[in-house]
Amino acid sequence: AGNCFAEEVKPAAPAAEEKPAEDKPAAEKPAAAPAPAGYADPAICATCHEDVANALKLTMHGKTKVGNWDGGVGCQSCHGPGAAHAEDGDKTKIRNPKNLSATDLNAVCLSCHERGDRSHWQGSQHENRGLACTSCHAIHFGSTPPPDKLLAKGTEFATCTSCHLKRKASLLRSAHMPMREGSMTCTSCHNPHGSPGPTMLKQFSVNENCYSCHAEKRSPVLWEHPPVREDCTTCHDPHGSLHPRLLIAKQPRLCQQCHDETRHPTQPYSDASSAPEFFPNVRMFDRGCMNCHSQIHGSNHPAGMRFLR
Amino acid sequence: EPESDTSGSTTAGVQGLTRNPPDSAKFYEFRDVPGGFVAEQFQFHWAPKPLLYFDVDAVDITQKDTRGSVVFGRQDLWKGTITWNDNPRRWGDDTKMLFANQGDGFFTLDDTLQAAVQAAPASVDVAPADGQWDAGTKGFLIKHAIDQSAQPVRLGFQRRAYGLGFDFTPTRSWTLDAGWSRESRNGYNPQPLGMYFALSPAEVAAPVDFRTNWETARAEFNRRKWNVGVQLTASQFDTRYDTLTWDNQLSLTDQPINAGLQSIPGHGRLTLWTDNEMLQGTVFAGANLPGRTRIDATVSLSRTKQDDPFIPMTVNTSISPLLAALPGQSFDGEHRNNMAQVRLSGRPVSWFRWSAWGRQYELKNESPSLRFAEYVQTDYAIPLCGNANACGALTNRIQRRNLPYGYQKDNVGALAGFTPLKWLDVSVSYDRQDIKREFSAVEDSSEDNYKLTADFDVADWLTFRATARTQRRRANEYDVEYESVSFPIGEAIIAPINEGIRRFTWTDRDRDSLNLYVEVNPAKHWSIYGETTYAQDNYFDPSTGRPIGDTYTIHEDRNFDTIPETYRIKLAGRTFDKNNTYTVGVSFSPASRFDIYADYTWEQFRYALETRFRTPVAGIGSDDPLDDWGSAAKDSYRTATLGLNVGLDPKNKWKLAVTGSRSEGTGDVDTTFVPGGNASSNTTLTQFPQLDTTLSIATLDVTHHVRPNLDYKLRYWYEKWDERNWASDQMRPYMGDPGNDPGSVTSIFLGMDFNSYAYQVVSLMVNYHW
Repeated sequence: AGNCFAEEVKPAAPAAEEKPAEDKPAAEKPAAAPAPAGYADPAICATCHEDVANALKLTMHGKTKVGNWDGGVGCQSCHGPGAAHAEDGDKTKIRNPKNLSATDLNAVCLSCHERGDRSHWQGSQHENRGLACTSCHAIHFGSTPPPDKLLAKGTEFATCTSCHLKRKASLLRSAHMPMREGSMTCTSCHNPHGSPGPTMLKQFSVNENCYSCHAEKRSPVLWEHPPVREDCTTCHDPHGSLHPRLLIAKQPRLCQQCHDETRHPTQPYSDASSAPEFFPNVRMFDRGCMNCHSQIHGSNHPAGMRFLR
Repeated sequence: EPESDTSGSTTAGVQGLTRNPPDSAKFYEFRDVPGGFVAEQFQFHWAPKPLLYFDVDAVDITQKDTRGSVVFGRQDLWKGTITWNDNPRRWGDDTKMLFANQGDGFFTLDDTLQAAVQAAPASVDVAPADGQWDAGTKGFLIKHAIDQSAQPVRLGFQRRAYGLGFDFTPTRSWTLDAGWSRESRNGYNPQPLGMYFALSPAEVAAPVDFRTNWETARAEFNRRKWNVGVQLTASQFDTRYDTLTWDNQLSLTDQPINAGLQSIPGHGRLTLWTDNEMLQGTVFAGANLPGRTRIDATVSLSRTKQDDPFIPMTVNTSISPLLAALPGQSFDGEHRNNMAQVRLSGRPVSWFRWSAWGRQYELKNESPSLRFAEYVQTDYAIPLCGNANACGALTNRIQRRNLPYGYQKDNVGALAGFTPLKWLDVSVSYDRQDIKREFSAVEDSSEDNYKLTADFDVADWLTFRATARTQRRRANEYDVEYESVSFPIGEAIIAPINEGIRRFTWTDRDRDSLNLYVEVNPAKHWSIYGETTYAQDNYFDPSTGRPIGDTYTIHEDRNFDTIPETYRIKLAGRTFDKNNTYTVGVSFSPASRFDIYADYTWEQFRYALETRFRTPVAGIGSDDPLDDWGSAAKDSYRTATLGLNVGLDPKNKWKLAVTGSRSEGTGDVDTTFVPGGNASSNTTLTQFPQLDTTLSIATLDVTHHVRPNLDYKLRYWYEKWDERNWASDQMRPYMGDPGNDPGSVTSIFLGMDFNSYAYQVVSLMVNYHW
């Protein structure tokens, strides 16, 4: 696990002078459009930086013809005007993101990407902790093909767990989401770029997040179980659990944290049982309370008040 | 650029497995690992002309857990997407079902068996030595039938998800996209069935046939300093099976109703999931203001509806003629989930940042509150008033009213962050959450949340992060009788049930947590890192301020005879919740051809509760303090992982990769009685056995790069999982051995359990790319 937090380094170069952008599709732009003032011919970068340029071509950044708002395309869409640098090779005459603070570096990326699901980056938990876009993403990828989303560590799981160390362990628990198997990733639920939801969830509440896969549970029903309706994590730990169905505690103790023992003996007592450890009791075995209260997520049966129907 | 460009790669080969057991439901819980030919991966890129592209990316092709995408379009102008993502879901091994699935959610038992059990005497065991109920008794007949006739049944479903998407970017300022996706699940879920109380518990493999459609459309306009967008989302959930009807193993027919309005039913019926549809509209916008300040805001309105027809209150033909009509033909339920959020954040100077936010989220429950004049309990009885003082004449039929639960959460907060030194960053924040609920024991509560972070980048070789948080949640009151509004004429049994409920998610709570992260790079190729977290919750009664678990005495008239009685109240519920985690790790990368890492995580979660056993007597319940008891549970996890990557020759033509992990989980439940206690009339306590799971995984890959575009990989993969789970290890279709809890004497379960497994997988894969 490497350090996922960006190093804070003084900015080395001023940002490019802002100019109005041409608002038409890049695909329609003439291939040999003259470079804006201060910008070099986009092809000139590869003259000295051939390896980087070739690697970049494999990525979406290398393929796009869309430039920055000043009209800079290719390398200069991020590195800014490069004419002066191309002139004499002076490294101080072009923006080097490695020398930028996380805030300044992110501003370069956000100048194009501050939209869609990156719209909530500023003020997000990750932004507040000083992460830079390059904490997770690598722009100049040399491998073929470059990883999805240009993730620096190749996969989402490796990227996220390099900081969230205990999550790496919790996904190895007995009850787990199908993440180890590849059907889900961290971003199935979370938006690491920030969101209006809690804990950077993609949806606006925990339950709405869960409903995005478990749509059957979102239905309004006649008899609601309030903790279920308010927050699925009252009973489930989505990151993994020792207990079946990702429950946060063993049955029947899970239910008993809210409900007392009235009329329901749910404790094993010694007995003249021939069972090896203690006698089986349907109120404790298998799903415990839910052996009878099976409709615990709510019931639409007129007689379903206690979730037995 | 060339006119046409193609590239791609494919990985395929053969795979063999040694399997113990041969078809482990746990190993195949979410995946497919076939033997024989395996098409592991296929990528194809085709650019027929400059700017045009067509990409295919698929993994686990032809398997039950295949997933991938086809993406095509014109660079920077439009993009079409086709995606799919399948996976199986297995529920357990060794499953046998005595019930016959008649289709459309009907499960039946053989009439002869039902009649025989109905006529048979209760289970007795006059000769305990044989460990069996006496021949001809109810339990004996059911066990014999299961032994003779129960059939293996496969529990699980196949999930299939696929989607289409289209993105259009006519100009760099406009993004328009639309998508459609469908997820389906087909198979069987384990479905427990309670007949009347626990007298004849059963379980069947209930059919699953779900379809969920999602449609989205989004338009966003962005300029250099601002963006605004709108998104519409619609979704429809549809299930083929909305009810399930099953035979009662204790009775072939609905038996005549008695004076207490009780009748043993011949079968029961419950509702499964309901069809529903959701519609959501969201508007979002953001703008960059002077002083490196940004404002972003989102408003979202959504509506979820369901209107499945009501089924009758009961299928018991002895009861149903006595009932009044239901208050409606269907529920016409509706939830409105609304969210509004605004946040301002700024970094006016390099050493200071700030943000402030406000957020409102509500579940507005627009469903009706219906009054059911005659309520039926588990197809068995029309409950009658048990306390004339509480609900009138003893012959009054208990009525019920549903309570459409809703809530609103309002958050406001602010954060200030400072970087006084190059190597130090500190932030403090405050967030207040006010919650209002409808139909709840706690209808009004607020929580103050204080957070402090400190990040030290002392040197290139040392990084230290700390987060401390403290939260205080307080409720205005805790109404233990709030649910009484669900009983229009009053309750048959009152105080003993309600007063014990202390919902830990709502009650007063003090929460403190701490997180520390450190990374040290003592030498050029070394990295040592670690993390520790600590959190503790303590709970209090909002009405008295006493800690949950405490006891006190009150004098109240709870039997409505105008004379106060004395009660010793136990504040039941979760008393505390603590967890600690520690992770340490090290990585060493001395050369490009060699790296190794290892880490270890130790986690412990502890929680405790206090509760009691109360036997309702004459409608108000006993109140013997000796019946109080407590329980402390502890879940622990120990997880270790390691990895090694080695280039075996100077040219890196041969590579070795080794990974290993071991995760151990243990769960303990310790229970204590009041000394001399008399819970459930049995003073000798047996503790729950420990729950253990262990997962061990090891892989070894040897890769030979034959040519730049060709390599092959020999992989050995070992995976072993062991579980000792007292709740499921003894699960069997029949649970009613002599000496057993009377409730399980006549059970018909599926016997579902995950068996431990040990699998070895060897594969030889060839990867070719062009």
